[in-house]
This record gives sequence, structure tokens and C-alpha cells, in this order.
Amino acid sequence: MRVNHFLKEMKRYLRLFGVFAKFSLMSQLEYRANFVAGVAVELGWMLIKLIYVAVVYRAGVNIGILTPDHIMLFVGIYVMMTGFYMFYYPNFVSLSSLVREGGLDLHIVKPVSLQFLVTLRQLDFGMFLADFVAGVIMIVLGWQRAGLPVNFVSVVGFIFLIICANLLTYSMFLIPHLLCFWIVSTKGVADLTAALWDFNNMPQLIYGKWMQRIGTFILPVFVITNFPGLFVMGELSAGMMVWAVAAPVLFFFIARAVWKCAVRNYSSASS
Amino acid sequence: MNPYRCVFQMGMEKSLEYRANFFLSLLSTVFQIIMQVFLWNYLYGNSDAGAVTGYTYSQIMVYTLLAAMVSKLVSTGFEYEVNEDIKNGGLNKYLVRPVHYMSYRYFSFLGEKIPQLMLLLLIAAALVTFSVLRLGLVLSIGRILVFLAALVLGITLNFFLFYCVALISFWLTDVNLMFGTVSVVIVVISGGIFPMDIFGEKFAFVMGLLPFGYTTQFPSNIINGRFDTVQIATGLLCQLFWIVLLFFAGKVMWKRGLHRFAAVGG
Amino acid sequence: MEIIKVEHLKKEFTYYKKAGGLKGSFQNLFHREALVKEAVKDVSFSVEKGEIIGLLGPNGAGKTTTLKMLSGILYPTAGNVDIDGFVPWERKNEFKRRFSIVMGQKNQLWWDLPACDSFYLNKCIYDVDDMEYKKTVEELAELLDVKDLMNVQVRRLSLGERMKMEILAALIHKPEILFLDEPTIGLDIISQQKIRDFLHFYNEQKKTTIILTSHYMRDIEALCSRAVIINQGQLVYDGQLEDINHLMGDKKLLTIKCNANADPELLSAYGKVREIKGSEVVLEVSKGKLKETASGILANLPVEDFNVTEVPLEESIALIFQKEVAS
Repeated sequence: MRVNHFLKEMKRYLRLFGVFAKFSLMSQLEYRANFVAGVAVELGWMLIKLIYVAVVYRAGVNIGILTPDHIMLFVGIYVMMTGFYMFYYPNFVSLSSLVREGGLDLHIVKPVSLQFLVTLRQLDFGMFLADFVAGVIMIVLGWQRAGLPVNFVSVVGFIFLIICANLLTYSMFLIPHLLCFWIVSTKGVADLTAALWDFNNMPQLIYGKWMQRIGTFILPVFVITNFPGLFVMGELSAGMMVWAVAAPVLFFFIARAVWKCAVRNYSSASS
Repeated sequence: MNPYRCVFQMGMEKSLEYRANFFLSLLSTVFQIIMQVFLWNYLYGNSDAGAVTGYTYSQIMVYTLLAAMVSKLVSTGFEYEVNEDIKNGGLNKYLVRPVHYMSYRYFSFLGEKIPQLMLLLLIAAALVTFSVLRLGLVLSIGRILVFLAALVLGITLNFFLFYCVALISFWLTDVNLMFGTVSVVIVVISGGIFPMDIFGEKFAFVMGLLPFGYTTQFPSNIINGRFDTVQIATGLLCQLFWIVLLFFAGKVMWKRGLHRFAAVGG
Repeated sequence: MEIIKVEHLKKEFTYYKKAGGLKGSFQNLFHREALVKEAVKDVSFSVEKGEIIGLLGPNGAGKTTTLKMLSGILYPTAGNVDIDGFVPWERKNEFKRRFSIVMGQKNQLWWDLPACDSFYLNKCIYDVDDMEYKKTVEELAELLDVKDLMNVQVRRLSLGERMKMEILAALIHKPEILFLDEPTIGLDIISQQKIRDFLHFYNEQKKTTIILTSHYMRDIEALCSRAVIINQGQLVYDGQLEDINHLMGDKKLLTIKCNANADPELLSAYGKVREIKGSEVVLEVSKGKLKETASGILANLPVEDFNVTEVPLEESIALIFQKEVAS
């Protein structure tokens, strides 16, 4: 009975997400020039990401166990994850105006999860597609050139870890934006977290020991792009595997708790 | 008061008003520098990277610390305003006044740069001192003066570069959608992330023929002591050459564009 | 049967005082003076099923805040609300499916898409059956006269058309209760009339309970037989609309523009002179005598322009408020 209900709800949310995706795409195609510009800007930024790979290839050195081909794989994961993040990022940005101008009111009264409705409503296809396609190409290229195994376990495990990484990205990067329920300008915090994200442009192995620890356990940005790659290489220890799954769950619950607190504050403090 | 001095002051006020934004953008620059320092540390520590890049360890470190700052300093932002002026007819208010649009933009831009320049030079001074003490950088007063001259020329050169890009708005009003991409690409090929000459001599040669490297890479490498007197003189002349060329290109574009602007009715 | 019961509803919120200038900003960093504002003080009323009532009051009276508490958007500081057995701010989905809220100044439609897409989204959100959804939309579009506009992007619609679409979107799931917050604000007279007619008809047909806030007296007059008036967060009147008109003294305002400067003495014979601005005079006349007075003025004075208006609502409310205090 409960399982049935859960599946039904799941189906409903997936369907809603599909409708959001369709509507977002339709809206964006209304402004084709902006759409193309979004893709172009993302491609411009990609040049910066790629030039790091170019430097590594040029130097022709391994970073620890990583050959330049492995690094291509890692940067590919980073690019693809950026695409996923950018897919729903516009919602995070518009959160503060939604709170300030009271647009949240009309969402609260709807019989679906408010967090779902508010954080996954507008989806940006331009940026997503540019990064996703480029990321996949780099992943495939790096995977192949490094001679990594292509079998059921590695592929399915990789995809599973990418899903976990998405949950972690969503949760971890939502939290700073939730500050907008309490303070007026969140631009500073948002910019700071965006800058943190860019540390993933290079594999964590280039950083010092302490930075790696902080980036793995306290602000686990490195988990997002390094773990799927390390897994495919067979270099992810069992303990880290557990953390790869536990961190997203943990951060999701933290984000959920902060969200609830934020909405409670909204409902009692505004008029 | 001289109108351009007034414009210059307005630019300065604007820049001070948006200083929070500037500090934040500086922060992401710092993160980028940290990442690059780690990368170079690793590469130089574990291989003969110097032979490949042609930079010694201390040179590449000085470059990393300095180029990001220089890149920030030469960066523009007025292209959006120019586009707006052309698109929405805001240009008319300049046309009826006894000011020249290019000069107006230039002095406003310089005004915006001065407060940033003060701060960044302070940071750069600290970084250079650090480099002298820890990275064995050898420096002379003369070289610092040449660097400052090259920096001012670089700022001016980048101004004219983006002024020309901005004037494309006369023909393509939606070109502003491309400004973001253009500036990212230009930052990269100007050497704002990595020096372009590490990618080989052919590449360096092509870059030498283009104006971009003279905005960021050239001034940064003066401090590095990678150039002898002849090379510095040549570089400065190249900067001047490009400034003059782009100045005239801007003049021509402005004249033609204005013709079109008047014909369309603004 | 009572479907909505509001008891001693109260809402306070704190805000911070800020002195101007940079100095003020610095002081704010260390010490902020908290001020409490009571948006709604002590409001109680109840609504019968199928009833349509008007929630009236001047700007800032607490109308919108009350509606927001009724729909569960805000938590009250104190008091109870019972809507069909639910407490709104528990936000149970079952409750959310039973009502709808339309706010005149906010839109829920997707700006760049035709309105029918937003309707479809609501169908998915509220889990409405396909057949039923089609029937509802067709029927409502017919009634609201927007059939031809279904495939036009919302941003291309006029304000009146958009409001109709907003109302349509709110009715997709056939709510039993409908809250309307200033649904006619900023609309032209004809659009206002059309929306009023629609709401009247819809309420008669579906027996939907409606609470309407507006500061246009006409809206309330046309739709509601009962009005609840709040002023400064306090309930000042709850009763039949006819009785308010009576309470207000059945007065109308006559604005006359003469081609010469008016003589107040001459005019005061026709009614109480309220205001004189050069050649423009405002007279207060009782409703019953309006026709008589008007024809008298037109016959005897050099009138250029002539206009009849209601006594402003704010004023009438102030009147009611004074009477409440006096008694």
C-alpha cells in the first residue's frame, strides 16, 4: 500500500519534471538569440577549462596516478557536472526575488512539494546542452585513451556515482542560496560558492593534503567530480565508496532542514 | 571644468560605488590563482616542466600571481553601455553635446580604472615583494617603470579593442549577447589564464602578430625579466602600433555606423 | 453550514528600524531596534458554504494578510481558523486541493507560453482527470470569453485578459473555496464588469464559497450580500451590505464645474459644500434627492461639467469606525 503510494507520487513528480522541462525549452526557444548566446558563453568558459587540460598535456607529466588522459576524463566529468548544475541553477538565482517580491505565495498553496516546485521549475537547456555534450565527449575520449575497462560494473557504477554527485551538488549549493530568506543580498555568498565549484577544474590530487581533506569531508566539492573518475580507475576505496553515497544523503537532509526552517521563517516573519 | 575631467571623476565614483562587486570578482581570481599555484607546483616538482614551457619555476609563479591582476585591470565593461546607447537611441544625447563619444568613453573608463589600479597595484606590490624575497625575482626601478608604462598602454589598447567590438552594435544590435563569450576568449588568448607562449614557438609567433597578448602577457612578462631592452622596445612599439590602428579603425567604424544610425533614425 | 470559521485571528511581525545614511548602517550592524507591527489584531467571522462575502478595508488594513492566513501562506501569531475541518497552515495537500487563491498583483501563468500550457501544468499539479480537465477548460473559456486567446502567449495578453486566465487557471481543479485578492485591480471598467459577472454566475452554478477583497465598492456591491470590513487590523463591521449603505447615510457626491467662479452661498442651497477649487465644486447630496437636485443645478447654474460619485470607501469606513467607538 505504502509502496504503491510512493510509486504513484514518484510518477507524478517525474511527470511534472517532464512538463517543466518541456515548458522551459519552449520558453527559451521564444528567445532564440538568447538561447544561442547562452550556449556561446558556456563554450567560452569551456575554453578556460580546456586550457588547463592543454597545459597538462603539454607538460606531459602524470599527476600521481593520473596520466593526462585520466585528467581529461576528470575534467570531462567536471564539465558534465557543470552542465547538470547549470540546468537548474536559474532557480537558485531567482529564489531571492521570489522571496522578496512574494512570488512564493502562489507556490505555497499548490499541493506538491514547495522545494521541488521552486528549485526545479525553470531549466536552462542552452547551458546544459553545451556542457553536457562537451563533457560526454571528453569523458569518452579520456576513458578510451586511458584504456579504462568498459564493462557492466564500471559503467553502471560510474552512472550511479554521477547520480549521487548530482544530488550532492544540488543539496550543497542550494544551502547558501537559502540565506536569502534572512538577508537581502545573497550575491556575495553565491559568488563565493561558485568560485569553490571551480576548484574542481583540476583533480584533487594536485592540492595539498589538508585541502583535500576539507574538500572531501567538510565541503565535499571534490567528491562530486573526483569520485566517479577514481571509481572507474579502481582507485576508490570501500570507505570512500560509502562516503560517496552517504555525503549526498547527509547534505540532502541538511538542505531539507534548512529549507523547512527558511519557509517557516517566511511564513511567520512576513505579512 | 573640462568635460572629460568631469567624466573621468564620474567613472571613478561609479567604480567606488560598485566596489563590493569588484572585491567579489577579485576573490574568484584568488581562487583561480591558488589552483594554478598548486598545478605548477606539482608539475615543476615532478618533472622538467621548465624545459617544456620555457619558463623557470620562479618566472611561472610570478606570471601566475601577476597576470590575473593585470587581466583584471585591463578588463572593460563599457561595451554593454555602448550597445545600449546605440540600441535604444541613448546616443542622441551625446551627439547634441559638444563632446566626442570615444573620448567620453575613454575618460569614463580610465576613471573607473583608477581606484582599481590603486588597490591592485598595492596587491601586486605585495606579490612582487614576495616574489623578490621568496622566488628570487630580480627587479630594478627601471623595469618597474617600464612595466607601468606598458600597463597603461595595455589598458588603452584593450579599451580600443573593445570599443571596436562594441561599435559592431551599429550593424548587429544583439551583438551584446556575444560580449560575454568574446571577453572570455580574449582573456584566454591575451594570456590572462596561462602565458600563451608555453604552447610552443609557432603558437607564440602567431600570438605576437595579434594585438591580444600586448594587453596582458606583455606587461606581465616585463616584470618577469624575460625581455631584453630591444624586445621591450619592440613590444612597446607594437602596443603603440595596435593602439593607433584600432584608434583609426574605431574612427572609421564610428563614422560609418553613425551614418547608418542616422539613416535608421536611431 | 459553516465552511470557514475564523476566531480571534492575530498576526504580528517584527521589522527593524534603520536610521538613514552610512552612520545608520553601521549602527544597524551592532544594535537593531525591533519594532512590532500588528497587521491583524483580532478578527473573527464565519462564512457559510456557497456564500460570497466581501472583505473590505483601506490599503494596509490587513485584508491580504488575513487572506494569506486563510490560505496557509502565513502562520498567525494567535487565533484559530477552521476551513472544512482543516487548519490552513498545516498545509495538508488534501486541504490545498480544496481551495484556490488568485492575487491581482501576482501571476502564476508562464509568461512566455500560451495560457493553455499553464492550465495543463495545473492539471498535472492537482491530478485532474483528462476528460474532466478538458470539459472544465472548455466550459470556463466559454464563460470568460477567452476561447480565441488560448493559444496566445501570456505576455501578449492585455491585463484584463490575463486576469481572466489567472482565474481560469485557479479553477481547473474545481475548488470548493475561492479566495480573490483584488482581482479587478488596475482593470478597465468593462473588464471589471465581465469578471464580476463571471464570478456571480460561477458562484450561483457551482456553489463555490468565495471570499473577495477589493477596494472598489462596485465589486462588492455587485457580488456580495455580506461584507466584513476591517480597518487597521480590526474588524469594524460584519453584516449585510444594504445596511452599510444605510449606515453611510445614503450620500452621493456631485462634482460641478462652472464656467465662472462658483458662489458657495448659492450652491449651499442644494447641499453641503465640501470643497471649492476655483470653478470646481464638490457637493454632498442625499441619494433620494439626487435627481431633483441635479436638475435644479443644471437649470439654474452655468454648469460646464457634471459628475456623480460615491462617497469614498475610506471615508465611509472611518464613519463606521467612529460610530463603533461612539456606541
